[in-house]
Amino acid sequence: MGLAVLCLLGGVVLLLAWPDLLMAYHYQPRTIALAHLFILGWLLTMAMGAAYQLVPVAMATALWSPRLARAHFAVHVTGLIWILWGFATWQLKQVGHGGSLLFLGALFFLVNVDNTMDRARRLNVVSVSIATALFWLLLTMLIGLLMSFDRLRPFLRINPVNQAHAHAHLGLLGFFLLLVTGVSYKLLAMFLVGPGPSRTRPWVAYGLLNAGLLGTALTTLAGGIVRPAFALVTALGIVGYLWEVAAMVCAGRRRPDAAPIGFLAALALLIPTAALGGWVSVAERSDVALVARLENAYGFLGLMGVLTLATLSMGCKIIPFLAWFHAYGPHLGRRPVPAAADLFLPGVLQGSLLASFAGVFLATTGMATANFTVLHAGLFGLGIGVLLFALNVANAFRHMARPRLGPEPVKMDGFHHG
Amino acid sequence: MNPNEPTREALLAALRTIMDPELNCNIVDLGFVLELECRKGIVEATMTYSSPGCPVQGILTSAAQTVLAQVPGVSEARVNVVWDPPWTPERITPEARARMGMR
Repeated sequence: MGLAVLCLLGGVVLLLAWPDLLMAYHYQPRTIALAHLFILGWLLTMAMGAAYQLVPVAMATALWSPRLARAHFAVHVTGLIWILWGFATWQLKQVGHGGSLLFLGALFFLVNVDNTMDRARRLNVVSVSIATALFWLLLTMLIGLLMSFDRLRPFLRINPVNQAHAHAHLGLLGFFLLLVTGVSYKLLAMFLVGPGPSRTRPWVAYGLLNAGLLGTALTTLAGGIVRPAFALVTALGIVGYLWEVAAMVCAGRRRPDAAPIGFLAALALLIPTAALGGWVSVAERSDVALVARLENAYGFLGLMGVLTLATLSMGCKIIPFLAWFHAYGPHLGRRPVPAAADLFLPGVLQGSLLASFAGVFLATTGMATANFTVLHAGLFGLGIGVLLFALNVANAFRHMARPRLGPEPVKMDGFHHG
Repeated sequence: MNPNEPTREALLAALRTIMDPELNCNIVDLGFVLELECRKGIVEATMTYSSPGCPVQGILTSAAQTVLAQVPGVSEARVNVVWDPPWTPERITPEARARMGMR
């Protein structure tokens, strides 16, 4: 997870250095390299790191193979550097090599997590969403490899830009959004002390999201007038999911604190993102500059708005919990230990979320209105937010390195005093 | 009653030192402790958690066993985890609910 945060920081620094990328047409080497830094370096690394930690904890067992996890990390880092360098220098053969390593790493991850979960497999909307997300991840990576091969020896006969759009949607909606929806049903029930998801609505949302995604990807590749229809199906799936989330929030007994509020606010950004996506799918291409900017705003709002802000917000719960689990879990009941929330400084947490949200809002507005001043302000705000988040992560890691335990209880007259 | 046997209050006081790391409330006030018996120095606690997938159940169970074993008069502590009856938020004490700002 440390690597993920470093990639996020690095990506935001590059955005601050090259803000013009967000105003220009997105299909160019530096933009694609930067997008993959955020997607593969930040989001995918974070998701996999969290899964390696949380799945064994939730299953009350050990990770099936720590050695395989270490091998995955080595392959993942190598593949990541290779693919980013390949994109940045537009050497698609190197993109293929790096992507192949990342695909191999994803297989390692799948085998490890699947075997860890084997002992306690339950069929419910959470586990099925996660399994489906992993399927879309592998498919997205395979398509990426085919795309890079196609650029070297053309055989797909599909417009490369359409390929890229389909690949992006499969990855961002198929893997990341489905993963977020599945995991959120579990996490919201836990953090809000409420019931789990209802019986029917999550499944309807799941079906609509997958059907819409598949249709969107196929019609993006093939072209055609029905693409907006599938975009609408996807939007209906999103509406169904948000309806379920709203119901869970209302049924929860505990008022959400900063992190769940941030998560819910990030999910709410699905609405303007879906609206932008819908508009882009039907827009006339006559005003090329406007369409390019709104396409960028759509991608930015989805990637940095929904997915990054949701991950940051939930990270503010998950990271201190995991750090607490490793640093203080074994000492619970034996010596006084801090609460998990103490591992993230509250003022820094709130500041990081506020700055990040404000930054994303301003940057998206700047892109949509072609206002460089507003864009710069937004990127600066996002940078501050990410930096504060990184500081809190470092604080949590410091607890792992040097736990702050209270004194051992002293036995006096047959009684323990802590 | 054997004067060396720990009292129920002493056992509960020991369990109240264990805080759920996410909810920051002790496991007694959260309603995780269902039954508590002590016979001839052997304590048997029956506990539950918010859900079978609760990520801290192992840690909390181990901690409960540790603190119970440290209570004077206890020679052995056993903790059994059950899932029936299922835990509900209504098991949280009113004082704890007020402290946590719960509805």
